Amino acid sequence: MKRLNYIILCFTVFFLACEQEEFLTKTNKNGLNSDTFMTSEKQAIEAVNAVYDPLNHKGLYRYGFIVMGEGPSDNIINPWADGRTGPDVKAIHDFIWNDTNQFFWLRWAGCYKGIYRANYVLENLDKVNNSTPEKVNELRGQALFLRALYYFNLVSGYGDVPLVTTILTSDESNNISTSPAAEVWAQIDSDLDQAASLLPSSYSQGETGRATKGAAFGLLSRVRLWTKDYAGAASAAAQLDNLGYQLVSIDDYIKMFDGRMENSSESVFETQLVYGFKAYWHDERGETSNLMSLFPRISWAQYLRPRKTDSYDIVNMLFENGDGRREGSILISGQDQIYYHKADKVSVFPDTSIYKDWRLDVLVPGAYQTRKFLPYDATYWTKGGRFFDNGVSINVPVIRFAEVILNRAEALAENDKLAEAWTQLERIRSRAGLSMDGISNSNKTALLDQIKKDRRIELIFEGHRWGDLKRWGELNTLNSAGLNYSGQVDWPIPAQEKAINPNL
Amino acid sequence: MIQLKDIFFGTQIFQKLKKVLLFTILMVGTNLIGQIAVSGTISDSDGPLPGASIVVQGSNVGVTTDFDGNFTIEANEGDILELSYVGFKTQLVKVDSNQSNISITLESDSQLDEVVVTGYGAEIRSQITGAVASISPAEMSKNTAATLDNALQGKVAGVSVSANNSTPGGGVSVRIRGVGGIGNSEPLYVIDGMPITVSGNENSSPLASINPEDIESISILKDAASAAIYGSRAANGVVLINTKTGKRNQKSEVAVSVKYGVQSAANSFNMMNAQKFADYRNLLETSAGRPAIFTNTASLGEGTDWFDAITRSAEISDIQASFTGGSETGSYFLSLGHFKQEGIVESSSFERISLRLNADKRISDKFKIGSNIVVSRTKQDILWGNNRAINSAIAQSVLFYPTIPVYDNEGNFSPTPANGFYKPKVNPMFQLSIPSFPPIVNSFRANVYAEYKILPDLVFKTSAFYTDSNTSRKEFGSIYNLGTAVSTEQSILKQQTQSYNALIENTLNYRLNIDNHSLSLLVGQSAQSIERESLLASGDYTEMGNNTIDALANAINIANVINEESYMSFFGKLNYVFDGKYLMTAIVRRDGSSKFGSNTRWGTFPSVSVGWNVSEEDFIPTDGAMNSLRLRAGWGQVGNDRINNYLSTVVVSSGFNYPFGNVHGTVSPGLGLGGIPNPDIQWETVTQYSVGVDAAFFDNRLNLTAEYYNKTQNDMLIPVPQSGVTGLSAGMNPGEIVLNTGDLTNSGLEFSVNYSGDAGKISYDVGANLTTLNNKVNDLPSPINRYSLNGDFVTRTEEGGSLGEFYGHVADGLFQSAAEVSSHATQNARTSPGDIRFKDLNGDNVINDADKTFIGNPIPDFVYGFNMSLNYDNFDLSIQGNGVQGNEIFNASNNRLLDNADSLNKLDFTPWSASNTNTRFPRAVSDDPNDNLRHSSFFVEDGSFMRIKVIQLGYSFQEDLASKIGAKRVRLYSSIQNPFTFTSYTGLDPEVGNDGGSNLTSGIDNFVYPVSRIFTVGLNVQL
Repeated sequence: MKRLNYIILCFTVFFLACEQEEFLTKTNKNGLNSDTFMTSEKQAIEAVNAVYDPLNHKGLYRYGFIVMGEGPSDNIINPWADGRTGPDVKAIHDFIWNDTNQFFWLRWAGCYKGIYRANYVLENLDKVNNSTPEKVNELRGQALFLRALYYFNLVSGYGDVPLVTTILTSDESNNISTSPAAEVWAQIDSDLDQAASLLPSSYSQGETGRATKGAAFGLLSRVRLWTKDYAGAASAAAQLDNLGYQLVSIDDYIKMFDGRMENSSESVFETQLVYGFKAYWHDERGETSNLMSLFPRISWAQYLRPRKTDSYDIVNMLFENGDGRREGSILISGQDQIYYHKADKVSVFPDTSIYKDWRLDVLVPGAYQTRKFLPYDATYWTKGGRFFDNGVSINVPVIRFAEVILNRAEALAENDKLAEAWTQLERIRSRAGLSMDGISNSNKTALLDQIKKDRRIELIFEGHRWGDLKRWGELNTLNSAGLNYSGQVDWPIPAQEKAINPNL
Repeated sequence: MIQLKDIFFGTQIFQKLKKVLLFTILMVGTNLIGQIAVSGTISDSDGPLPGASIVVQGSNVGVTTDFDGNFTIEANEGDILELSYVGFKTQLVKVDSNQSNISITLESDSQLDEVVVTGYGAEIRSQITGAVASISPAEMSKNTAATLDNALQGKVAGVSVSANNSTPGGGVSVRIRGVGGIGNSEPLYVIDGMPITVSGNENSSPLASINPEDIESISILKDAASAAIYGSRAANGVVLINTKTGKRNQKSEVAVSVKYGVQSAANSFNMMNAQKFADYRNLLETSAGRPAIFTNTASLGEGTDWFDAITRSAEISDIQASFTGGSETGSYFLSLGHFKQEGIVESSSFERISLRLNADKRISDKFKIGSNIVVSRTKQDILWGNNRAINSAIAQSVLFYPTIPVYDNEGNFSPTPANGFYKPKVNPMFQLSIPSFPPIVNSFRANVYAEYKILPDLVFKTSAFYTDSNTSRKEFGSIYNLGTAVSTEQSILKQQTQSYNALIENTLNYRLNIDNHSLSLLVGQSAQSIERESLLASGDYTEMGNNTIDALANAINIANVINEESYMSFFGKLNYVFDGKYLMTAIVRRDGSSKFGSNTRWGTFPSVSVGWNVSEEDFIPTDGAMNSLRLRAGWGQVGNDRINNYLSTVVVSSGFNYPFGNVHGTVSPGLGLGGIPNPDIQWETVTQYSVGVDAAFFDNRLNLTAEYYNKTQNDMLIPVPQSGVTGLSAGMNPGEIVLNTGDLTNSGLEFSVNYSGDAGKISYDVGANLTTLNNKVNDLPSPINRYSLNGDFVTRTEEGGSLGEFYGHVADGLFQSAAEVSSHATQNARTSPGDIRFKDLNGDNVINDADKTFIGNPIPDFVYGFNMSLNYDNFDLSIQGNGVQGNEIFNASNNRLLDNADSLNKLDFTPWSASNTNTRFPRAVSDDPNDNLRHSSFFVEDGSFMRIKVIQLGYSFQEDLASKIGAKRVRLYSSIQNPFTFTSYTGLDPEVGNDGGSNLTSGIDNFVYPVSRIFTVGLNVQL
């Protein structure tokens, strides 16, 4: 238009570059970031606490330890499965080992979570600026112990696994290859060796549950049985004799597993479990285990019972007369008594006048239930929650002094120190109320067999059986117990991990 | 020289913006010739024409007439006004300062043209070069829906809409041109100029606070060429919504409308009755060698139909009142609305109260101010439990034991018997009867704007927008003892979320007409700042009766989250028209976003589009059947930053706790880095090109539009699953970090056709639209698995495929004999006749994960909508419908309804047995050794459907009758919604939407909220 002729226009907007950038910079206010984290002792302790957290994840001591450690073994029968978890529990027992089984993933992921957090602590401890060298060493020792424990939980199951001891980039993690199991075992040995030198032998009461010198030596004695370093195993185990550990009396044996004697004198390392944090069925949250699935009162929980078939009766095959551990491990319907907290009386199990809602097959006289992890204080059975789906807050033993003694006995026997081995075995058997009559201290094979048998009994349902059989090369014996064992030695690397990482 | 910041930055809210915005306008030389406000009335031979367009020729200034045919427009002396209406000849009127009021009667059979709202302005249809669709609010309001997104369904080619959750006020997926991408694919909504980014949502529509009755116009910018003006946030298209305003010199008018309806479930589950359930259960137990559970099953009879128990006949009501008017110098629109919908499932509901005031005032010939203010309160009660999961309220109810009555003999809720068989699940009706305190969202949205005419053709506009919303959420659990189902604690949860959103925007509009050249130019700048903070506290008490949370509660949990984001933008748009035939639009926008790192923060998004009004050429005869023909083509790039804040850095997560000291209720805090930072994270770019043709025939009675689009997302912002070795996994889910990687393409064709005609006293209008959807993932670093069911993922998105395809085994009927089992590849040692046979795809004679493949696609081949309206005398009838074709649904509900290992109720079916071999349902075996429930094509069904969505019949009273009650217009109507659905899908309803609003979990039916059928009567009165 003609008016354009006299239009002169200038439209200017001034923006100072720095103010634009300032306006567009938003800092995340929801927590410390990688620059500011772990600069104080308090934060370092919190970072170490986070390394313990995966111990109570589902793939580890929340539930996986028994599913994967006892499930594929002759201690167990798993006739039934339902829900989200049951079919995978049963598949492991049945040796239908698909790489999509949730437990193979949960163990893998849980361990690497712990390893990542341990590596983070180990790489960043030198950033802590208001601590003492003693405290830093103690924290370093805990991180090393836990990294070793997580690697043990990987390598003993999967065999070759990726060995990560530093913080990796996303690309590095997604493309990492496995390392030979021997390298992983060597790393575990060296981590534990270092941890044992850094860790204190005990903590104040409020810090109970942290890794101690005894825990490092105890785990080392187990690890060296796997690596057949029998001299090393025996000497690591022997260290615990000087650290104040005591076997509890046979009357107290069951109390270590029913909530009455947590962190006992026999406890070397156990996961700390408490109620009050809900999330019972969560894979990772809450502070309880999923062992309510073993309870004979939950209608859908019929997984992992003591093995009893027409041809294989674990009680008859395993336990000698007078073995106090039998009643501490297995509950026999219509025969054994338990304490009913609700009625405040001891009565033959199952007492339907107190709780009528037992599963039908529990009511059959002579039926077996696991006794370990059945809470003594039955109020735990109904405490909290919207439904009857509460977690179990009984600590799970990771290393008991009894195991360390058995490790020592086995290592000594393997090293032909039969008399010394015999003495160690005696400690275990005499606590159980059994004599050493008829047990040779000169026949290596017979003595080893006896050590193995007592090991199986002593540690039953604590997650050792499958690993022990694997270590001994005795997985083939499972077929004679009536299991569908079909030759598997290592767990498969989980499918979803292989889908991400082409090098696995 | 004017310092605008002094005017607009005074309030505290804009203090932050003020720091950044130093705004100066230099103005040299002004032309003081003012504009004229031309007003008038447009009518046809029968009376006033509402909705006619008035546009200043060669500009994008335009208005439409109100209900009485009145309009007011500002124009310069000598400008030409184009007055137009569908089906009438366009008339041109020259603006003359001596005649500011004009009354025109349009002749029918005229040129088709309408004014369409586009980004930062309005354009007339014949000059639009991009793909812009508009929807008449009148068409939308025939649909009884709580939220406007729902009402978009089936209306426009290229826009596919599906409800994710049919609960009142529930979430809706709106997809413009294709199905979108891996991330948030919802369009950008711009409501009275305020851009609102919404996330995919299943439970609640993010637009719930907007009263659909306030809407005057909806335009949809479908292609990048038109949407680029919204640059960084326009990747999924833009929906422009303008609300109603008063017209200049409009007589005051009061409109009241009342709507009331009754809803009921359109379909129900066919479950086993008590007797059949008990028999079936006994069969499972006894065949597994265990004792039967139930005795004398015949005495159980029908038992309880729990779906029937939890559903109800529910009311819906909508009351609206509005006041509109205008004077020579100002206008107003004031509305008050109350919408309330009870859900057809107990304890679900939605309620909205909204108040709106839109007003403007002309201070002088050159200076105009205005504002839009809305206050609203919404309250939505949704069902407990997770959606689309086994623990949803609907699943837990439908599957509940038919052998348990709702109430016991004393009229109390029946307990769940503690006999070792029943799971400790609580009576669903009791669960739904627990008083709930639905979240209340109070929101206040306002904007003020000022327009200053520097020159008649040069307009400066500055707008300030402010939104403040507060969401208050409360949940109270209860203590109960219902047989085996026991709760011993009262849980309390409270959450407050506060959000602020402030935007300041400045634009300068210039237009120029010389001879045959017509040009308009827009430049602008905006800055936006958003803050959200939420505080949640929860705890448990061992006694009932607590209303507040204090330090005495058990399991106290406190979570406090802050989110802040900011945007800064510069944009420009140029429209050029030569001779009314050749059209060109060019847009560029430069955006900065706080979501990205400092080196990758800015992105530039250009677009260009051209059009050719072929029918304006002399060589095209206009006296034939064809009245107009236009060809359009466009190309553009837009950006996407729909990711969480702060992904370029990482902070420490808490909650990795451990109870040292072993004291119940006490835990030591554990902290760790919660991810891997990605400092290189940057804009995702969407490049789109499209071509289109618009044509009109037979005196403009028949209108056709056809378009092709192709839209490619590059450097997609997608979560990439990480190895467990990273230590970032959570439960079954691998850790994920968001990376710019991969690309995918959506392409398709869009058709729409509309015909208006009359036969005697009947006039009618029929229309239909259809959109084809092709989606291809061109590049993806690793497959993305989603929707965990029974420990395995239902969907898998991988390179070469499309989004969220179903993945699993191919079911191949049932084994009928032991010989068939043994001759087939090994499935399981105990696989028996009556189990599902799965195809051995790799021929290795073993059925395992290697035999999995893609077994269904949730993306339809095409979606369509249709409508018909018919007027006869004072009656009006309209029918609207929509449909999808060629998609599949994964019927996860069926998976659960057949689960024999679970003691809960089952679908009413007869399993395979030696005496019942002619069935698709597998044998009854409690532990399912063959894993019949594995994800397989057994659960995949055709999801195509066609739905008649609304049938509405109205009657408008004669004017003389209406005037007897003092009204100008009275209309009474009745409608039925969702009367008919045609589908072969066997589940409850085929419209299952997207789980959580995500395209990766589309088409999965797992006990979604049932669709309701609604009968409505309504009355509109205008005074």
